[in-house]
Amino acid sequence: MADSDERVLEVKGLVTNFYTYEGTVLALDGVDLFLRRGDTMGVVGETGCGKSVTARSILRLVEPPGRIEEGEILFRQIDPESGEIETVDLLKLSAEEILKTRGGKIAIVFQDPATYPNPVFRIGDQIAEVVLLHQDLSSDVIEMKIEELQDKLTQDVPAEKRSQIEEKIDYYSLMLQEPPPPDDKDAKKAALRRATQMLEMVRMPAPATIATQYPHELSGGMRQRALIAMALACNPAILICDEATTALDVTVQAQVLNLLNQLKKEIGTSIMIITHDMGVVAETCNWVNVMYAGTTVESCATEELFATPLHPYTAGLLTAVPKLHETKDRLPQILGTVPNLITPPTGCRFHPRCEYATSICKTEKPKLEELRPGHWVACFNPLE
Amino acid sequence: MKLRDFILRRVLLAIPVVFGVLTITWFLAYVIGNPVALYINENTPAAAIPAIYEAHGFNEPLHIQYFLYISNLLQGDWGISASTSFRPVLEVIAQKFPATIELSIIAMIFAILAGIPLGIISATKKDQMVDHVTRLFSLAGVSMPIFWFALMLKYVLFYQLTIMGLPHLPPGERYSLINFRSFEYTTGFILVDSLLFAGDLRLFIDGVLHLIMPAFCLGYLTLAIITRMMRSSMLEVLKEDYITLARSKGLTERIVVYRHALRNAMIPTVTVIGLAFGALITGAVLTETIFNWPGLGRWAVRAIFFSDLAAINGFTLLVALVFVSANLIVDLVYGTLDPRIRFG
Repeated sequence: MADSDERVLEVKGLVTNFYTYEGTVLALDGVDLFLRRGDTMGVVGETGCGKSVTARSILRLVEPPGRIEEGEILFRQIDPESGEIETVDLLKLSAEEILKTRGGKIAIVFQDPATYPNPVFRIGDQIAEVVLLHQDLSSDVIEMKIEELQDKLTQDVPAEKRSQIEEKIDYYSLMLQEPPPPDDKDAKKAALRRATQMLEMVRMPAPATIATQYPHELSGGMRQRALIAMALACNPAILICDEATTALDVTVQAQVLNLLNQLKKEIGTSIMIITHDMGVVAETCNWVNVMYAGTTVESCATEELFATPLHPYTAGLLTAVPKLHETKDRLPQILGTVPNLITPPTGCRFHPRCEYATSICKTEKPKLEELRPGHWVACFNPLE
Repeated sequence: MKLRDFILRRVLLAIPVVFGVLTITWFLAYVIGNPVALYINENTPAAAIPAIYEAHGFNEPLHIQYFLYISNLLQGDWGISASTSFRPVLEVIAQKFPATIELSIIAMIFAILAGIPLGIISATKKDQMVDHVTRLFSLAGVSMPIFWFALMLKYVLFYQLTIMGLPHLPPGERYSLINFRSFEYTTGFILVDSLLFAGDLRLFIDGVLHLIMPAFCLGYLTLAIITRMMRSSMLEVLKEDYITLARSKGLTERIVVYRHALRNAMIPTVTVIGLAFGALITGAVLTETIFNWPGLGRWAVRAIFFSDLAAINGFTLLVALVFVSANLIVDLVYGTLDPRIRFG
């Protein structure tokens, strides 16, 4: 039982289809994965293997013609008062309840910083919007008022007024114990203040100025940081990064990844990183899920995956990564192409490209099984 | 400061546009008929005709006549409209323009207030019944000729209802001339004058009733264009990544559509609205003729029938000015909608 309590997020047998004119795209065919509390977990796989669809399915952001058909997405949150763990199936939540989860408890950072921020709103307002939606700002408002008064004290004020202001500060400090619900105007101001703090947290230079700027006035790296600030603004339990660094150049990418891992420690968020870059996985993740054509094929700790991959696909993927100490004319590749998901191969979806395939692979779908302690593989003929 | 410079630059740029329009119409108008015909009737002695040519400068070479017109125009003299009892063009325009503008503004307000929500609903309920009905309604709007539609409306809402002895809409004019014989215009806008200057609520209601049919006819086409534009740009915007981001924040669908999508989708719609406002002034020509509306459109049609050059040129100049100002306003609205196109 303790094992599953650790898993803040657990996806079981997730099936998502897209009903297009060309036919039904079986995008996810029983995806299993989990994210342990405090982990940074990577989901890797080729383009089109269903990584992003998985991310969107978790937040129920799959839009028509797509539909989540089956599965369970268990989210285990710790009740802040009792400390007990409360399990909900995100797929069974009502439309209203899922809205509270999105952005508030589970946040997502998308791939392209150029197209994801809304071009017509200021950065600060876009962050404040999500804060206003999910956060209780009552103590923020009081803090803000105290700060304003303290600001006044630093200026030249006559002695009688000074004592008045000090009195007021004492009054507000008392209110901090049990802050009253703020009015809309104050809440908005406080949310903006929080937005500026978030921008500062993601190491933005001059956060107050950035908050008043529009997305087109920022560089790609800064925009991506703004998106991260937006996602982290409500201290979510889970942060999903959907190819969050792919559109950035290598140095900025390294900065953002570093930032994510630092922020994870500051806020205590569990992170799920979706990427096709093995380097990103090796550097930032302590757990990896490998996906192929809409299924999970392997799941284990990062070092173990790089040392002893058990699934032929993972092994092929790893040999295709260039290594610094080897000289090769041509990198080895996995033969064949990613299957068309309208008519996917029967049985194991990897069998047409697999050199170890046997007759059972063509007819039966392998289950994800724990072959070694902490190492799950879905394969009939795992490498040993 | 920046805003002032922007407006100044746009006004300066508008000068060659207006001038070009004026030049082209001036020469074109000359081709369509003999302007002297207006000054001659069956009692004019044949011997006097050359003197008429001489007196109005029609014997001068074309370019001299053109320069004379332009120089008079720059001095505020728009010429004499021979088809309107030889009154100065500017005076006629000042008298008739409010009627057209009032009709156009009401038509525009109706088109915007109905068109934008219809477009939004049509987009958010794509391929549902509401969408199909809205699309049919707007398709009819862009396809139906105004004059036919206006006649049909009049036939049903005035003629048939009258025959059946039911309350009906007035067939034309701006107010019941018989009921309000003593009324005189102050600003020329019936809705303003009736309330502020005449203080007569009955006249105001009468004016509103007279406005309904012509404003609906005139606004229907614009409404249809706005609805279609709004629908397609809304559908486009709803596919954008920032809408997914807005949804991922946990915002309700309502806020996603009306806060995040609407502002972006408004940008192309505003262009259409600006152009349509200019088109309303010209579109009023047909509507005014059918509803006996004493506006500029009817006057311009008459001027063309009589080859009344000064009136034709005056009307065209006015329309060009309206178009240019509408576009300037559109550009200013752009800036407030989209920070990326802020008066650079």
